[in-house]
Amino acid sequence: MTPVPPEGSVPVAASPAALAAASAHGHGLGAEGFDPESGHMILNMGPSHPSTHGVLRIVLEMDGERIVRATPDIGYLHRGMEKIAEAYGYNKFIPYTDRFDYLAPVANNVGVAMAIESVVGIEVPPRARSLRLSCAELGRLHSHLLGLGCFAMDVGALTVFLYCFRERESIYDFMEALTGARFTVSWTRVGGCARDVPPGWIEGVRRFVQGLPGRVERDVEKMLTTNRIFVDRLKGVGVIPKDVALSYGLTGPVLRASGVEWDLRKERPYLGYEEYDFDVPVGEHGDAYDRYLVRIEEMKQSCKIILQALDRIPEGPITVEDHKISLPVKRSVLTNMEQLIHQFMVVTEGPELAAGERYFGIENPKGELGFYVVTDGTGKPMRLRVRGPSFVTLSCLPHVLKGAMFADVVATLASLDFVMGECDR
Amino acid sequence: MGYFGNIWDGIRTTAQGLKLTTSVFARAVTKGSYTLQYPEENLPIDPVTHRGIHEYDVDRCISCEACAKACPVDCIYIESAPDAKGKPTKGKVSVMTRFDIDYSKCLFCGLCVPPCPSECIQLGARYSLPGHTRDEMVVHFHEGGYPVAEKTDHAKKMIEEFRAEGLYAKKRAERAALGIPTLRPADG
Repeated sequence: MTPVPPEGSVPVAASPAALAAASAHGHGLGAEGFDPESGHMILNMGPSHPSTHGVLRIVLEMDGERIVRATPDIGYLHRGMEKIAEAYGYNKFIPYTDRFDYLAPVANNVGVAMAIESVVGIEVPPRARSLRLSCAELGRLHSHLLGLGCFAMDVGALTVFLYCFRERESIYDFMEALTGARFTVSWTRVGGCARDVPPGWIEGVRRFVQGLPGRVERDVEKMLTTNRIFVDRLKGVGVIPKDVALSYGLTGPVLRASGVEWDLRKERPYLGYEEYDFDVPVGEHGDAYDRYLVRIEEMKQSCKIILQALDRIPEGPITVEDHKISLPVKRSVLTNMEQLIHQFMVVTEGPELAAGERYFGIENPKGELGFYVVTDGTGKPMRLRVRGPSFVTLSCLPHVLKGAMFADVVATLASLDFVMGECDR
Repeated sequence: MGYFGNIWDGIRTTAQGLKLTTSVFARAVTKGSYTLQYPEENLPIDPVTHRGIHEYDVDRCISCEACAKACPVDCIYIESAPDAKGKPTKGKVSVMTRFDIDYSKCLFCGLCVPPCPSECIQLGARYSLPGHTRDEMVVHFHEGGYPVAEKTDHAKKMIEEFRAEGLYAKKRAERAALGIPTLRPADG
């Protein structure tokens, strides 16, 4: 059990000597890997470690098996995404958002498109809204399936990982049919979506989603939820108490597992989430096992939302009619001079958005993915700041890992379910 | 549990465990396996919606550079031959001297497809482009030898017009005069 820090305390960090020793001697093993002041061992975990879900490096200062200090070292995947958005413009930025949380690319697409639209108050047609909602929830299933699979694999249960990937494969197939790409979908555009659903897609998704809760119960829950090894390994590990979770600004399943009922889909509904019937699962203890349970339940709720959404996808266009923002239909471009000019302007200058600024956050699978967009009337944002949930989740790592056993690092990391593509951006 | 009880328990649980393995094995033997021998066999993909390596028609291209401007990674390089005044030719008369796509950069996002006014660039069904160097990742589309973009009705109509007016042969000759070979002509 990790103690709660007193009010106003600063998160722990490795001592300068420890950090210098770790970075000067690469792997941090051997005689040089000892902090000369305290005699603690400095151990580098990552950046290439199977359980760090990307390229996270953690400098662990250890007293025997106990962790005295843990300092995450991030930035290995930094690509300057915010600057890219300022340099390339709105629509060109959407393919880059696939590479944020690359376990749910379509959810990021929806987030960035909605954030840009919210600045000038563009309302997408109802069909696009329902499709975006269904796909965002498919993205949640996509991400949680991998989160659970990798979680189980990191604590030693490989079979669940394979079962989860079988389910993910179906979601890939749906995405391929919808967008033409399996993974980096780049599906939304400012003012709508890139492609409409192909025939039979809705029925296929409905069949898949109807069967998914049963398959998750059979293949994941039956193997893990009451599995003694799994439970003993996770109960009381990586505990984040309620007040600590709130003070670090955690969001998503990690926050809800700590007992805080906060879900942007309920608190600040977007895409018409207020019209859907679903529950927000909340944990009690905030340990790794609760985070596992919350994710399982969230998947079932997502299935419920998708089934409701698929029943009420209306007919109609999938982009807004204002062709200063969205590309006009190709046939009208070839016959109509005005539309040709609109198309030329949208492609070369970008969508015409009035000056303004707005913060807009959506409930991504990992937490609140927010975009602060400042438009200045040109085709490019003056500033586009991204608030990624993984970065915030990782910020509590020094606190969570302090005093833990070394073997629990892997279980804690897996249960936090972060993704470095979004953390480093 | 006695000695023989233990033995029986071992046999019973082994059989139980092997039941799944045997059933999958039997299915693989009778109905064929789940796996594909990848380079020889391929999974079916939808040739219309798949976002793979581009299809392009060098003769229909008017070198307006709309696709290059729409590209989020700037991987499309376009040059056309200069006219009598020394300016690059644009429009229906343009002769492409360079249309390269750098596939080490390309994201296959599909943003280059809708802007094209002559619908001469599309994402195709091919996805394999092995090579040893970065130079091999750059495809020189102006030399032809790649499937012609003809997915839409407008593209098909334009191809018919181009054939009827003999523009394919004319442009091929103009490119040949500039020393650009045509590996496979667009009009078949």
